[in-house]
Amino acid sequence: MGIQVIFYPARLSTPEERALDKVKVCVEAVKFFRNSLFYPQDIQVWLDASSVALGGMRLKQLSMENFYENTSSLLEYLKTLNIFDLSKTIILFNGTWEFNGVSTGGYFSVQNQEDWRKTYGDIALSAYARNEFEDIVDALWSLENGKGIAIEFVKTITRPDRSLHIKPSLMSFTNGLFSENDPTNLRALYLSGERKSLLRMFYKALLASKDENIVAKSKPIETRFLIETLMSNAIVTERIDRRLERDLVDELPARSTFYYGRKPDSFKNLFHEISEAVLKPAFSKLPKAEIVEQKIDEGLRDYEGEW
Amino acid sequence: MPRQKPPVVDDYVPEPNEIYDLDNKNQLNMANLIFNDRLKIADEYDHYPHCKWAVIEYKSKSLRDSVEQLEWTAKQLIAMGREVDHAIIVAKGIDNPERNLYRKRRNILFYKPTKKPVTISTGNSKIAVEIFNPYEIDRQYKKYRGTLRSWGFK
Repeated sequence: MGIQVIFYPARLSTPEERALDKVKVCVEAVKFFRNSLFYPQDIQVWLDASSVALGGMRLKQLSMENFYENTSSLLEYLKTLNIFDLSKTIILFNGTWEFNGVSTGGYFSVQNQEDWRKTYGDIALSAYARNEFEDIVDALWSLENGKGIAIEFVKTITRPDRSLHIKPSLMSFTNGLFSENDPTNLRALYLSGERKSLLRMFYKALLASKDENIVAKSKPIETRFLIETLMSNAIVTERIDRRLERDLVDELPARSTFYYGRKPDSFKNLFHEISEAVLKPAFSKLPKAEIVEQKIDEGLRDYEGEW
Repeated sequence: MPRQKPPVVDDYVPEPNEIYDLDNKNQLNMANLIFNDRLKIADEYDHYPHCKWAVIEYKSKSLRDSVEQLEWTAKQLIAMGREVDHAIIVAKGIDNPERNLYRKRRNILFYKPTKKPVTISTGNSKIAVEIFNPYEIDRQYKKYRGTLRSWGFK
């Protein structure tokens, strides 16, 4: 595993429309890499899980002899499923990756099944580990133009398409699995919404780390208010600018923002630095939640008016 | 991180010359292992002295991929008429997002949505997928230091 795409609903839509749109975007992703790095072999539609070992059931298999015909057939097939089954599907585009002359199996997958979607995102790309590389991001980064490929891939997936009801909110390139609770294994990251999305992600990760000083004070603070207050402060902008440069993370406009770590530990360092230089200082003067509760209680007791 | 090595099974470990690296064409030829498709193949096929065979995946960074590789490799080995008695994942732990789907209980990998062990077909039966942390394996070797039964006749 290594590349994930997560979507948000861009306009009013049914669950079927969103599920089918994810497959359409995945087809675009396959097309991007097809016959240059990825050689598709078949499409499989699974129910509940993508293997028998996990209790999944394969509903359909299509060869990739004719890519355009078979991807159309796939969409037509999915439209025949009732919404309950469609919402439990995992669609796999299986094939072979080739990086610097080394071949390995891999896939693009669309997770409609909720538990799988929460774990692997809406779309996941993976290449099975070999001695030469541990995962697809490892392999991609070993290419001379790996960064350029990643940027062009992001641009392809985020290209505006009015026919779709979804838009990408996040595209992650990680060594191993992406987790919002731990951004330290990121190698590159696309986020819609500019810098405040990055800050929001780091804040959630800091909360998940159970830092006592933050957790004890975070309850009364609404996240949106906190992030907007921070982003409107010039000190924060300056500190983030400096840390991005120091931690070797390039910030590139790619319809929203694409962050590219020049070294394997760039994001790990960036997360640590922004936690220390922005998030923790922001909380340092705030009262703990229990103090806020006490003050609320005092205010209520001090009220002298009529009940 | 300790060097990756196969876990102790029933007090046995495989002899070095009975460990087959499935990425190594020479070893595949020596063992007469002819796979139709090596692209989803697991890392090792090990023969334990008490005549048990284990398929082992070390390198994958996701349990989803590890399970698929073990399942695929076992299927091909069974089709070749070979035995598969154990399917083993060696992993540091279950990473955060995959804790939604998996748990480890006494070295057996469980799939949470079904609350059942992850199982792989070996022809007429099924075997549960086992999962070991490299440090656990290291402790196994230390515990058995010098007393590991390397031959079935001991």
